[in-house]
Amino acid sequence: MDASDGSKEQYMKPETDPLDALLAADVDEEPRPGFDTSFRARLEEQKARSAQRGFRLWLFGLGVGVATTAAIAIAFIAPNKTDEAQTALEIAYEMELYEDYDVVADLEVLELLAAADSPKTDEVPQ
Amino acid sequence: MKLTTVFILAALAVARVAGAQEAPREPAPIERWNELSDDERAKVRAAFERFKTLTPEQKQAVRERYAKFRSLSPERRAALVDSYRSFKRLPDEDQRRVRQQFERFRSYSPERRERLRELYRNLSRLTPEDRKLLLERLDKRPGMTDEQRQRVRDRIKDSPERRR
Repeated sequence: MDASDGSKEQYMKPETDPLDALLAADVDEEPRPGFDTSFRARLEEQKARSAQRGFRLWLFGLGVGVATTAAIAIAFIAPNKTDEAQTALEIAYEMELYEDYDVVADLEVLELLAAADSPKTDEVPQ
Repeated sequence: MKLTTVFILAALAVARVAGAQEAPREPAPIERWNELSDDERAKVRAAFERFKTLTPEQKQAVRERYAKFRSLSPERRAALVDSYRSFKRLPDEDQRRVRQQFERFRSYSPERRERLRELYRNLSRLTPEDRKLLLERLDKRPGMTDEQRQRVRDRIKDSPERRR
């Protein structure tokens, strides 16, 4: 198996793999068009409120779960990692297929070979 | 404002506050989002879009498989990426055929699946004598069509790696 090219080596470093961001965040809705600009506006709004109402204390009160989600969000939307995340997610969707891909892709012939080696006639695929 | 939005905003705010206390600070999520190209943003949205259509059970299964993927050795992960890319390079019709074969393979007993895996491993180690013996056995095997015999003959001339 050739693992020498740079893109594959990226997968070998868990810290560069941001998929857990998507999986753990599990948000109900995707970023909408204008997400970035409206997000900044809302963030500023939240910051202002937090100064007046002790909002930061409440935020810290959310604890580890929130901090984890933040780390996840940071990782997932990190630039230059979206292709890796997408590939990792695709693999996770059908991992069993890829685990036995070589065998599955050759299954018809392997079944015939198995039948040639077997005394049972019902092992010959139809 | 939806609870989800509040949750993400809170997460981002915590990240920003926490990041301000450490140097060097990682860029805030919003800054990273702004650095993405339109194409990258579209990919993030598409990934969210597909994932959120899953049932809670399916989401959990994907999470578990991803955790498994992460726990594998670098070599095994690279092998899975190779398999994924090989599959994606196939024409749609061949992808459908492979999926059907996978469903059949999955329905077999663990013993039968392991036997097929062993056969595959042996296929790449066949000597000329092994091939000759195998073909003789194949010709004597009742219940096979000429087309099936020919398919095996064609395949064992090949090495498994040639397919990739």
